Formats: sequence, structure tokens, C-alpha cells
Amino acid sequence: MLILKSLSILFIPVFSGFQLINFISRGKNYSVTFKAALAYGLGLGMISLHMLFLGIFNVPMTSPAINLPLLFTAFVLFMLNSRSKKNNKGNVALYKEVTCQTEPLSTLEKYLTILFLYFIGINLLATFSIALSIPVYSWDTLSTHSFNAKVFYFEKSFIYYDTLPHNTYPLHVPFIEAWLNITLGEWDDQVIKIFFPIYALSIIIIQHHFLKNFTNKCWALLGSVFLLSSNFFLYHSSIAYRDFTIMYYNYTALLLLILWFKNHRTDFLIVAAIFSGLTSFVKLEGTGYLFIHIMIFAYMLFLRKNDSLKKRIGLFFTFTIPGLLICLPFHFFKFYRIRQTLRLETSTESKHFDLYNLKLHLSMETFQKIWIVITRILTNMFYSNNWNLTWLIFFISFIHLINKKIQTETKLLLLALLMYFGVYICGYSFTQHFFWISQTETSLSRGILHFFPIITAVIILLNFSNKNKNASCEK
Amino acid sequence: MPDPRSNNRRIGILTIFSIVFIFTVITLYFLRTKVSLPDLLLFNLYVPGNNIILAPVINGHEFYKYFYFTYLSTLLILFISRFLGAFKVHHRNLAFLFVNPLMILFASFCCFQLLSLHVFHLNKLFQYFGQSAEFKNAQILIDSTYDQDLPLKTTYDDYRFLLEGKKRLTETHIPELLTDYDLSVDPGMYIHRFISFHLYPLDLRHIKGKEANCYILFHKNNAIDHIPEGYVPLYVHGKSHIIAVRGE
Repeated sequence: MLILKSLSILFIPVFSGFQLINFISRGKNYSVTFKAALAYGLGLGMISLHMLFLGIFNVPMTSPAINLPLLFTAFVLFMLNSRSKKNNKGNVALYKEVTCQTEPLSTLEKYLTILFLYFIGINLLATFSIALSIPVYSWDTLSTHSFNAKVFYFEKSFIYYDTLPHNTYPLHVPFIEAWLNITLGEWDDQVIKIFFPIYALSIIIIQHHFLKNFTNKCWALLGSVFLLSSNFFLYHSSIAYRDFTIMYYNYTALLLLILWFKNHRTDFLIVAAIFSGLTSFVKLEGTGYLFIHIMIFAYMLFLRKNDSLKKRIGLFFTFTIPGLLICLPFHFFKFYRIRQTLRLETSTESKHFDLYNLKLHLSMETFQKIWIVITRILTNMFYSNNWNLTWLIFFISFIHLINKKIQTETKLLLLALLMYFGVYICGYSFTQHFFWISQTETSLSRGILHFFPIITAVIILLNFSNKNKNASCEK
Repeated sequence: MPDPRSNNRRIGILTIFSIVFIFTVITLYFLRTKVSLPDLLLFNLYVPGNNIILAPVINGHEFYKYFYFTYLSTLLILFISRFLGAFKVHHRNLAFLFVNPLMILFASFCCFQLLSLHVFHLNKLFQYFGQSAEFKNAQILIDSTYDQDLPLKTTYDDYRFLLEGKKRLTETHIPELLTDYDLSVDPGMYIHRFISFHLYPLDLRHIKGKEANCYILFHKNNAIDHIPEGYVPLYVHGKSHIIAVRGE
């Protein structure tokens, strides 16, 4: 019963996210499932940011204080969208779907589609069932974010923020967990896990729609099969860790950026910017990922040589400003609120992950460390049971390039992948965080999870051979 | 002059024999292990962990090494055979040769995964529904030891103690944990977090900055002898579990 109640409460973020996307897209239509998958993350992001400001301005985080302004905003957006839709009535061009013109599926592809749907369905069912039948018990969940969520639920303010465990970590996940329980009116260790399988479902939908832009339905579904075939991906979608959430925001931001590059739709760019900003509000690494997104976007602008410099500068700010506006308030607040603690931490040999506590260790030993880090990463990719055979398939897929030219979108995804690896290799080799990769298994798999879905998309893009090579997607 | 066709046939037969030989060697190597294949596939292939999912180790090697070895050596043999002209690949390109066996391997792994996942979940569900709702979290505490491979020896009884204790304390009580576990390393560290999470709003982690005014003696041998001076037992649960508050 409580789970059904929680599911109905999730209507609030989905509805708000829907209205925001409608407002940004100004009539340009998306498929309903794609929009719902985006709206879910967007709505939850709106809630967590709203709670951050309530906390900063000492407004108690009660259900009306959180939900009423949100619903009011969503309602205003709904009215504006309805009016805009009325004005655009008859303008069919604005309501076209983003689809790819490909040849009809072959008989084999049709059978495979059924098989893939079965695999995806049964895995998602397992994820939902595991997540919703076993309460929170994982280490980090009990120790940090769900504990912090419980504190926010009982105290409804930032009164004990300074002494919370890992208080320098961004607050998206603790906030959404607290919000659900505040709206429910009771604390439950079970329902707070409801977010994560829905994030999994959303990521599958988003990737499917992305891949459909470049391939056909069967191949797009194979992408989802690759994602769900990873044990680590599957397991993390059923436990309440923040890594799964950051993967959702990080990957979605990247896919939307590429869709913008392909379709030149500004609404994709703005939504990508919001997702990119929200990535920074889930985990500390998110701020680094935001800068990776900005660099990739800058490269995309560099590739768009037909656009004037003025237009490109305008687009650059269209992406960076929303992202930074979401990212910076928490960092400013944190600095202001706990600067004393931060100063103390810098004076000790802290091994905690913190952007403010990076100590560079450069010496001849560093080269040895780089090698150790690369070996650990390769061992994790190939010998752990995390990723199934996906990494092997990824590398084998490059054989296709013997006869084929790599498309720009795939190049962009590969560039992103290189950047993520670059950040991790440098971050682990040159700083005190080397300890975490050389001595423990604590962080590497979770770090790889943040960008793992990229390789599943790349595998599909490299292997898909459309007979009708001139087929192009509608803009 | 020898017939090139019969020469190709001989190379073809040699190719098939080489592949069969590799598979036989791998199978024999597999059979040396004490773990039975069904056990391996159903119980060892999917043992999830929060930080890494380790692959089962067979005779000192990770499970995946066998697959990579088989796959790569088969490819090598096929590649050499093709080079020697044993058979012609009529498919569009060389990629077909590489990708097809790989996709078959991948499909088999997905099937194993589904089976393992199903068994894992059923296992969890049986454990979960096997207990009364009141102690469901205690079951999870034990499960987590399985996941994280920790030598934890907590029971449902421990959790009953926590629930009963929580009922007897009020929000004015600030507890402190006294235990024989070392709280600076696991499993003591995990137990501390677990208890803190479930006891909140009772502030075991002292985030409210107030001094402790009651003690939770948890897994403390002869707990009664370790009650600090000035404190009296509020709730006694066996010899090693006591909640003590300031004496009036």
C-alpha cells in the first residue's frame, strides 16, 4: 500500500518535469515515454534544488513548503504551455517526432526484438522486485545519504548540517529520500529505494530513444540488453547508492548534447544543461563531469563551422549558464557554512573524496602509479563480474572500422569516454586518492559505472549497418 | 601434384580438431575444481557487492579468463586456417568471424545471469518472508554479511534488543555504544552505522553535539560489569546486551 502511495506521489515530480520540458521545447514534440523519462529526473532535480534553498533560507522543509510552490509553478507552466499550443495549432511542422527513417525489420530482427523485450522486461521486473522487497542495508546508504535523509526528515532543516556525516557531499539523493517520506508523512526504510529502479527504467528509455535516432528498433533494444546484462548496473539499480543516480544524469546530459548536435534543437541543449548541472548536485565527481560536458560541447561548437562566431558564443552560454547556476549555489553555501571544517581538513592527510582537498603528488613514482591505475582499471573491466562481456564486445567492435568510416556522434561519445578515463587515471595517479584504487576495491567500479552506458551506445553505433546508408533522421 | 582441395580439407579437419582440443583442455581444467557447475552458475556467478562483483575463481583463475582464452584461441585458429585457405568466409567482412562467436558467448552469459539473478532474489525473498515483519531488518543485517564477506555474528535477537530499547528511550536520551567490536574497522564500523540509522532520532552519532547520557551495551561480554559508574540498567537483554541510563 505504501509503495502504491509512493508511486502516486512521484506524479508530482513527473508532472512538474513534464511541464518544464513542454515550456522549454515550445511545442516541439517528443515521444511521451522519452519525455516522461526526462521529466522524472528533471522533476526530482527541481525538488532537491528547491529543498536546498528552503534549507539555506531556514524555511522548514514541510510537505506544503516543498510541494505547493512546485505544483503552483507546474500549473503556471501548464497554463502557458496550453496557450502556446493553442497559438501553434495547425503548425504541423512543430509537432514532428524525432524518428529515424530505416528499412523495415527483417524476420530475424523481429524475433530478436521479441527476445530482447523479454530480457529487458524480466530484468526490470527483477530490479523492481528486489528494490521494493528488501529495505536499505548497504554501507554508504546507512552511513551517509539515507542517514542524512532521515535527519532532514526529522529535523526539517539544516540545523545539524555542520555535523552531518560527509556533509560536503551534494544533497540530491538525501533530499529526494527525505521529500518522499515527508510527503508520505512517515519514515519507511523500504520506500526510499523506489527511486532507483525508476531511474533504471528511465535510462533504458532515454538510451532507446537516442539509439533509435541512429539505428532501428531492434538494435536500439540490443543497447538496452547490453546495459542490463551488466551485473553491477543491475545490482546498483536495486540498492540506494548515489552512483546510479549520477550515472542517469551524466549519461542523459551527454546523450541530449549529441541529440542537439544531430538535430540542432535548442530545447535539447537547455535540458542537457539542466541535467549537466544536476549531475553536480548528486556527487562531488559531478562537478568534474559538468566540465567534461562543457569541453565536449565546446568541441561540438568548434565542429559547427557554418555557424557564425556570435551564434556559437550564444550557444556556449545557453549551455554553460544553466549548468553552472545549478552547480554553484551548493558549493557557495558549503564554503560559507562549513569553511572552518574545510580548512581543518586541508591541514590533515585526508583521504576522503573532496574537490577541495586534492593534493598533487608529482614525482618519478607517479609513472609507476599510472601503470598501476591502468592495470587496476583493465582488471576491473575484464576480470571482474561487473560488466559481463561488454568491454570485450566494445573492443572487438572496432574491427568494423576496417571497412567503415566512424560517424561524428560516435566520435563524440568516444571522446567523452576518453575524458572520463583521463580524469580517473590522473585523479588516482597524481593525488592522495591513489590509496583508494591501489589498496581497496571501494571506488573504481562505482566510478566506471558513471560512464559505463556510453560503451553500450558505442557498441551499437559501431556495429549497426544500415543498408540504406543515405537514410537520415528528421530534424 | 597434390590436390589443393584435399589439402584444404586436411587443414579444415585440423582446425576443427584444434578447437575441440582447446575446449577439452578447458573443460578438463574446469572439472578439477570442487565447485559443481550448477553451483557455480547459480550461486557463484552472481554474488553482488556494493563496490565490486567479484568473478568466481576456479583453480586460481577468474572465471572470465577461461572465456577469453577459449574465444581468442578459437579465433586465432580460425584466422590461421582461413589464411591457409582451409575455408572461405562468404560473409561481408572479417568482423562477422569475430563478432558471431562473441555474441553467442554474450547470450550464454545473459542466460546465466538471468538464472543467477532469479536464484539470488528467491533466496533473499525466502529469507525475508520467512521472518516476521518486525525482524525484517535483522535479516538484512545478516544478508549484508554474506554480501560483504564480513565475519559478523549478529542475530534477530540483537535486533529485538534494539527495537525494545528504542521503545524505552525518549528523544532526550543521547546514547553511546559500548561493544567488544572494534568500531574503527568493519564489521564494527558497519554495526555502528546500522544501529545509528535505525535508532535515529536517538542520536548515536552525536550530530546534535550533546553529551551522551545513556549507554547501549551491545555484544559486550559480561555487560553488567561494564556499566559506567552512576548509570543503572534500564533494559537488560541477556548477558551481553544492556541499556543503561543515569541513575536517579
